[in-house]
Amino acid sequence: MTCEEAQRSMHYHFDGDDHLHVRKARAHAASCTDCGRHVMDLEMVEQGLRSLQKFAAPPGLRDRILEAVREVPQKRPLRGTGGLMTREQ
Amino acid sequence: MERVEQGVLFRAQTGDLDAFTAIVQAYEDQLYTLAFRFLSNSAEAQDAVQETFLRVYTQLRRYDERFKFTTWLYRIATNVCIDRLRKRKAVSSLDAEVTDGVESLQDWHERLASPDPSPEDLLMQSETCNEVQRALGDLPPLYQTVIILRYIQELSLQEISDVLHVPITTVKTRIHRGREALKELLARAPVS
Repeated sequence: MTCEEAQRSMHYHFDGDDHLHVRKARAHAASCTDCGRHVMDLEMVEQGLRSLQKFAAPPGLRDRILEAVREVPQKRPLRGTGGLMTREQ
Repeated sequence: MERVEQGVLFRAQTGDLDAFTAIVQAYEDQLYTLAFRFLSNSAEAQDAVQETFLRVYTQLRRYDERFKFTTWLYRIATNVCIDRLRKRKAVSSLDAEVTDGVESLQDWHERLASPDPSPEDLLMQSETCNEVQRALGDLPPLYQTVIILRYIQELSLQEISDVLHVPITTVKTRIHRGREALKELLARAPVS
């Protein structure tokens, strides 16, 4: 397996796949400095993304939304979309 | 993930504002986080969330219950954010400098500079997170979308495929390229 193949296959490892080509890529990376570093870099990317915090909506946003909603009418259901309304009626 | 009961949804579809308030309450945090990660700016993220809920409200009677409600919600929110990114790009490309020999990623990097973050935006994040946020903001929207849905909203590959109406193999390819691009962008980021 070439480094290029290993680095491509390694992404499936990050997706949670465990196919033969993923296992081969893992074995390759264990003994190849470049590919080992590549895996570590990708782990850092994942760690960075997961460390991003989840926010609470700022105060006032909900009121703003509800005020805006009061100004607009709801569109009628499209025929054949199977929305709850059409089904109940 | 399904946090609003069918009965609430039904009442909201008849224009019941209390029911719609319950829907807003259930998803506002999640959608604000999504929008902030797309737009890197609190004011714009709030506008995007408002626009999303406005579309949800007006289209609610057209919601097709064969899809999960959150799938539909994410589809609308994602479209709103991407539209805003595109408009931003269109505006900034008017006075963009012509650079030669740059790859598309760098292209985005140059032209898609987000508006200056407000002091409150800066306060919201630690230094490392800022770096990641900046890199995220520099990704082409196609990759940015799947990365945000996967890592920020923690959707499964199947759910992302439903939201975007593309096959799982496509979702995977985009995530792979997005991860790879982020790795490059973070390697390039100045160490502060």
